[in-house]
Amino acid sequence: MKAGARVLLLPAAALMAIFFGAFLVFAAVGMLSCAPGTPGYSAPLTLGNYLRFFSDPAGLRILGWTVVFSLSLTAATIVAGYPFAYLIARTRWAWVRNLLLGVLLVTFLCGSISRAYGWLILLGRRGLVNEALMWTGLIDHPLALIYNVSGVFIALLHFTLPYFVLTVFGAIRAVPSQVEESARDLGASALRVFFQITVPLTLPAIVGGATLAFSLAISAFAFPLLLGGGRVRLISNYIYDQLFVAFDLPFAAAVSSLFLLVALVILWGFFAVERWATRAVYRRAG
Amino acid sequence: MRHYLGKALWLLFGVAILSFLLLPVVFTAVYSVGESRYFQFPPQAWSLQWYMAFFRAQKFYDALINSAILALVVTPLCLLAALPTAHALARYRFPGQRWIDALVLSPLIVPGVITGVALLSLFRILHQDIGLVRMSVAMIVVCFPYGLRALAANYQGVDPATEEAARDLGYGPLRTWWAITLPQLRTGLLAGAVFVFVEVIDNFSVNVFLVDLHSNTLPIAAYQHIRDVDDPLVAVMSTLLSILSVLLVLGFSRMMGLERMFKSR
Repeated sequence: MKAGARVLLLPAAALMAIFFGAFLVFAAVGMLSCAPGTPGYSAPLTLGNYLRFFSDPAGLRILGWTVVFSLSLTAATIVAGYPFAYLIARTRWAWVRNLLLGVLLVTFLCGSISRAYGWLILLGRRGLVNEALMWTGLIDHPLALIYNVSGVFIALLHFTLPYFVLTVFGAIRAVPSQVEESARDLGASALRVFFQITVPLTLPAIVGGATLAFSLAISAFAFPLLLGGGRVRLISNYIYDQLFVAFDLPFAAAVSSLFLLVALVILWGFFAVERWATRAVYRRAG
Repeated sequence: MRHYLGKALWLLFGVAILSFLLLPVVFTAVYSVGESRYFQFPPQAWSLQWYMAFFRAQKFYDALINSAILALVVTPLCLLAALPTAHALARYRFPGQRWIDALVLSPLIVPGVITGVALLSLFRILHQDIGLVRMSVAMIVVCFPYGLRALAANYQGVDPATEEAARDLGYGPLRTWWAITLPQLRTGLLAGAVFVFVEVIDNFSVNVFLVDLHSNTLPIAAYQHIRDVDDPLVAVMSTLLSILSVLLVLGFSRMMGLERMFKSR
């Protein structure tokens, strides 16, 4: 490596040293144990905390459930987000495109606590959604939409959607609309063009956006904290409780290390699918 | 006939998603300007009293100051660290470059709670217990990839030939970078600054582990308020943040067009 590049990479190296240094300390702290009655922790080093998590069915269930929840949320994001991105990319009117992009960007910028709070108001027992449903006569009693999974799911979908749409939209724009039009001229139906031309050509971006949505979903913390009301706990909330309810930093560190491992393995799977999809597009293009 | 049906379905779908996106923002704003302490729709009377209450509330005022300090310290430092990194990655070829690329972006994919606990373990060992210091370091590390990605995307549009021409005319490497490269990085710097700024203001999951008793940030103060009190003060905060983001978006679409902004994400 040239000396010039080495000097330029110094600041990044320093930041990475802090980041990965923290993880080294933290994996080691996971092997310590809590000193009873004090805020500190003490040796000897053991794998006890790691083993304790594996023998705790509640903890394992939360971890497994977090993964299932995040995968379903990713699927919902794709189903709602892809047609929306398609609409933005293919609309004939520039003002519609700018309006939709602007709304996405505002949602994206205005912060997670604000949005979680917005959903808390909308979905509450006396919230707008329940009032509207009662007024139409569809229901007699308010539905329980918050402090359970559905509220967390709806609010998180609202959170992941802009990230996904903004990732996929560029890829759809990059597919020349003439390609779709010529397929139509050759007699293919609109649906067939959509599923056999547009979707396969933008598959790498779909997987990329899905990876983003999944990593946001699996890291979700504030949304279940506010909208779950203590009843919906994802792994992040479990770790937080170990720290601030049980004051057990070593155990929290051990659980976090295992969680990180699971998250990275799944994300690696997503990246592998993305690489495969990119190669498939090049093969089609010949 | 089928043609019109398709159009109508698209319209319906677009309106549905659009209202899904806007609903929480709009109704939070309505709640903030209503007179009632509890959410009513439509509000029976309009009032700005909750805005006055928000600015009078000491805890929100302190949190606002802390968040502002954090954002003003972290945003420039992040970009200062990202500038040389982006240059090295774009203009030099060296072994293991793909790995370095992936490595510097890794803070983006590690869940915030894990980063928070890890940094907390580090700071405990270093005996650093000032919340603002801990959060500043954490935010620089966490937000660095946002700045870097925006600049790296921008570098793809900077033609190396313009730099070579300057070098041929006798400019040194530093002067070339300052006079030729940097001015072309304006979009990336602007977009990077916005993404870093927004993340610092909004971050909850990392900072909640690093905060001390005297240094609440806005999201943490808002969370505690929602947990303990039932009034529209947080609706006021959310509305002010939404107005800020609308202004940012309008500014962007005038300065560089929205589509270009997304290319730097």
